[in-house]
Amino acid sequence: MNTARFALLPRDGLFCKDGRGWYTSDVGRSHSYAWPPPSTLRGALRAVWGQRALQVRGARAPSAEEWEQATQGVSLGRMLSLRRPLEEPFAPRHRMWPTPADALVVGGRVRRLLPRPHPEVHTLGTEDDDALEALWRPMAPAGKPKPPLPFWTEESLVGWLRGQAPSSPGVTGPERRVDVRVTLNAASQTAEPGMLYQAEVLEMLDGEEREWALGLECTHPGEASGFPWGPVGLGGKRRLALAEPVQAELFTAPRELPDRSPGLRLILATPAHFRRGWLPDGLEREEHEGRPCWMGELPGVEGRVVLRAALVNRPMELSTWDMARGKPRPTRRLVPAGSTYFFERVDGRPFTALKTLWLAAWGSDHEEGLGRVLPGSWNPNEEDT
Amino acid sequence: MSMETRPYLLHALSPLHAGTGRSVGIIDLPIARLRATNIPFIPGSSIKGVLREARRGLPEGEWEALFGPLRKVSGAEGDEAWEGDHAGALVVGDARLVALPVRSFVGTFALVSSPLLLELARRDLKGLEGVPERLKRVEGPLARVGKGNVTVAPEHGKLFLEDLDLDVQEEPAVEAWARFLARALPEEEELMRERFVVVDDETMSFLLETATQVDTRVRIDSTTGSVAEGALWQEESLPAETLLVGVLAAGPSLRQKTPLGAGDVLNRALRETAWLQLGGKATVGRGRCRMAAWPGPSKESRR
Repeated sequence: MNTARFALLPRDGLFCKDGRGWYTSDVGRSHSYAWPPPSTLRGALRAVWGQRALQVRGARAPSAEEWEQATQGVSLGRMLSLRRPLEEPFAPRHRMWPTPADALVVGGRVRRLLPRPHPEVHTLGTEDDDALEALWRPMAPAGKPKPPLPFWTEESLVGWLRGQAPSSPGVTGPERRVDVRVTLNAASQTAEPGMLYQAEVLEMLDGEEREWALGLECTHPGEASGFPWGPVGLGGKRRLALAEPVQAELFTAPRELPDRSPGLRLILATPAHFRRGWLPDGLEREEHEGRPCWMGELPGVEGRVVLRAALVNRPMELSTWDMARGKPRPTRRLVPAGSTYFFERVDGRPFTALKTLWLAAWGSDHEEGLGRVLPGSWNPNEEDT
Repeated sequence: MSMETRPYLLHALSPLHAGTGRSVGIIDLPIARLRATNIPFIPGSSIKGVLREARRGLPEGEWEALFGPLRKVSGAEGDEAWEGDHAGALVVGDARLVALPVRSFVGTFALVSSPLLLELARRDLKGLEGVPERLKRVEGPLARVGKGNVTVAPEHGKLFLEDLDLDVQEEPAVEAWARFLARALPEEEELMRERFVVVDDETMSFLLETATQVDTRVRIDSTTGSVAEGALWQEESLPAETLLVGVLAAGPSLRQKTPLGAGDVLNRALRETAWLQLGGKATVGRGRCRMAAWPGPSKESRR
């Protein structure tokens, strides 16, 4: 297996249509994801690889099985959102992160949501899951929260992982544009009935002359220097994305990351696919300190852990398209990026190797770049927000 | 997909109206612009549709291999894939503005660009022989010109564009850019060389807003000979002489029994200078354009 690291810079913006059909509301109206899901990127990279492999073999119009087989080994590893001033080479300071779910903007300040046990407070759920009811909850600060901005800078996130609130509420994502398209009848030069449609495009160059890009780490079988060998057709309408090589340093953990903490806070950097919806794989219902809980072992985490709290955003419905077979794959429900989990060790000892969890993979479908986590410190006894 | 790319130059010969439909602003029919930067562009989908018709002369199989088969049925029913269905091998990128003709008190008009527009174009042109170096940004307002630019007022040493008077600095890279762009349309080299001007990005932002062509039009009621009620509107266009740069990309043909490599696909799409009608308002002469690629092989493989 070889690893290629590069940034993709969509030349004409990006159209990543979500699972809503063309004909569900207004006819011809499509909706785009706010940021491309990792699975879309892996699909595009598989297409690049497969095309090349079949080109070399001289094959034409491969069968679905041939295509699957030729591209199975192409996996997406760590995926980054990047934003840089034009002309600068990519560096870790250009990384952008999803806004953590344990942050709340109230009164113009970013406040930390710190979960605490509240046995008398129940969820609004069905109460058929006592371990869920026993999870800790944060007390929201007084005041009306503002809707969060979708991205945080590297500086804000690194401070947040250390337990420091940033001074800025975040960064708005790429600008969205709606392109209206029509099919003309060549003979009459008039619009074809039913062929007027809209595509929502994410523009990658913003008004501050900074450009958004995707940093990708991709493993692939065999020797293939220079992968992806030129521009990549990405998202709907095969829009062109230019590839630029980047250094491995772009994906490494920041030096300022804490290495030791009494509790562990994990923020999802990319959406995650867990077998039981919001609940991370590896946890089972047990008893701890006389109360029901979710307990178990997690990939890369020291010792047995107990889940103390989960701040999970609305699920992300991921509907992907099987290009080889020309039909949709089953829709998956993912835990969205930014969702945050809080853990303590069962033996009460601190966590001492947080850095090893930097962009580690959780849940299933790792090869699609899903389930990458960011480790942060947490003091379970801290109450003040 | 492992693709080859080939940049092209689009030269507007008449006002070019690639619109976005009706707007609620002062201009009823504005042109398409990038939302964040306001840079005018022609969507790749417009260019692809027009190029598809312009290449009707290709053998049927090749034509389908390049552009993909046409839908058999319009609307939702036509979404179903059928036996032998395939994607076209050609990908047509948007064409972005690289130089805007702006009224000049001396020399009639200047072809005005900026470091940002040239930097975006430079990315598309990467790999071609002789692409000029990046033009550094400068504090504005300032215009940089090549030697012998005919739009500079000799007695003032200034450039008078629309309502702007700009100090002028001579810089060889500006002439290099003009000559390079003109390699796609050699017969226009003199025109481009002597009118090419690079202003700072802020001044360009102002010109993008104010120097496009806005026409007020009416419809006359044939029975009364007066303006029909509600039939007064304003429409915006990129003026004639506008230059835009875009990219065509291609992978190998996906059509069974029509084996074409990426290079073959690009050669067929851009085989000679194409005379196209792009955008709307064709029946009143809008949108006559020339589309041309730069000659010669690439310096490095774009595969």
